[in-house]
Amino acid sequence: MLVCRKVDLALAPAVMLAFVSEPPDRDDALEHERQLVLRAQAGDRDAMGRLLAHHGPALYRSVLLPRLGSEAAAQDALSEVYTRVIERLDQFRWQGGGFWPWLRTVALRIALDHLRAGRRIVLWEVDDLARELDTAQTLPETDLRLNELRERQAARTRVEAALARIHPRYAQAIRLRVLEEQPREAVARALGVTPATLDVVVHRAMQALRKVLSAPSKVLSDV
Amino acid sequence: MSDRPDSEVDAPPTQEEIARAEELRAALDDPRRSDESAELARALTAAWSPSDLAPERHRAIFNRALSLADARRHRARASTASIGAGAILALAAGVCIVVWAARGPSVPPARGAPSPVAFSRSTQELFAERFSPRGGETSRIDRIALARGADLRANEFAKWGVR
Repeated sequence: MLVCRKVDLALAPAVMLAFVSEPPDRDDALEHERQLVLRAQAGDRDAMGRLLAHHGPALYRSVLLPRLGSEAAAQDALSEVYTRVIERLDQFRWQGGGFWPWLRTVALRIALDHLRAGRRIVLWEVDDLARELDTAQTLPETDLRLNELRERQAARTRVEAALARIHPRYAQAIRLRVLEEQPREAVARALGVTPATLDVVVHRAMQALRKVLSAPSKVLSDV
Repeated sequence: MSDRPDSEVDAPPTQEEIARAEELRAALDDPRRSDESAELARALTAAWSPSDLAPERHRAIFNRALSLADARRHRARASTASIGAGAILALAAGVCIVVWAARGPSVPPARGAPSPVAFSRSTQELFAERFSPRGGETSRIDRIALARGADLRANEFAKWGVR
């Protein structure tokens, strides 16, 4: 049965991975998924819907949204991914690793097209995504939760790597105000400034981050 | 890490900085407001703690993809059909031309057979004598024009079958 259990994603990445183990019914789940794929390839729209309903939210949350950086862009990309999957599912060949690696590869290609077409500053560069695509087919055989946790860990590491390149005070302001979404007054107290001064600090912090992310080499490629 | 000194980090803000900081604060509080720094902040949030996709939104995206895929399939079929019809028409036209050419009266002359029409050629045969170093151009042009005019008329008569 295809079940995606809720995992506490607030835990530290290493701890998160340690807690996740292969579910005992994984072979059954894979076989069930294989049957769904076969039915969808034969034109069964209900099977197609169930396949995408199972993987789509994780694909949006852990692959598209972090890389494209906006909900609107990620939803547009998801729609394109679905259209391509519906049109080209007959090209998919089951290889034992499940449907996810193929679906993720399609999503990375679409995300790469979006990044190439866009001018917004995001954490992933075109080259980063192209490298990910090169290794996408070698994704280890894992379950959906573990894949999502790995994606999540990689995204957070990328954010931390970017923050490490600006002044610690700026990084702290972004961490509290943007990442943790703490109230303005609370962050101002934590940094020992007035709320008005905090606004300036956050503005300067974002400017500094924009500058390092716009630099030709973001030195985030290994992340 | 940035090598920006603390003094620069804590430097008094300019009026422009204060205005931009206020815009950013408003944009952070209201996702509908557009601001470059706020967009980057949203990208950070999307990577750090990505939000879930609402089930009804997911359903709408899936349905839109289904419709789009159907529309593309229909367009592809229509396109294939029109290409096929065009190919059939072109083939029929080709067959007609071949049949018409095989039955038609104007069969091209076999190589070596005398041509019924005069083709373009050198004007050397019109001038047996040597040219004088100066003058005589107009008379030579007149001679060429007369000869080629005669060729033209002869060709027209040949085409009409009255020669």
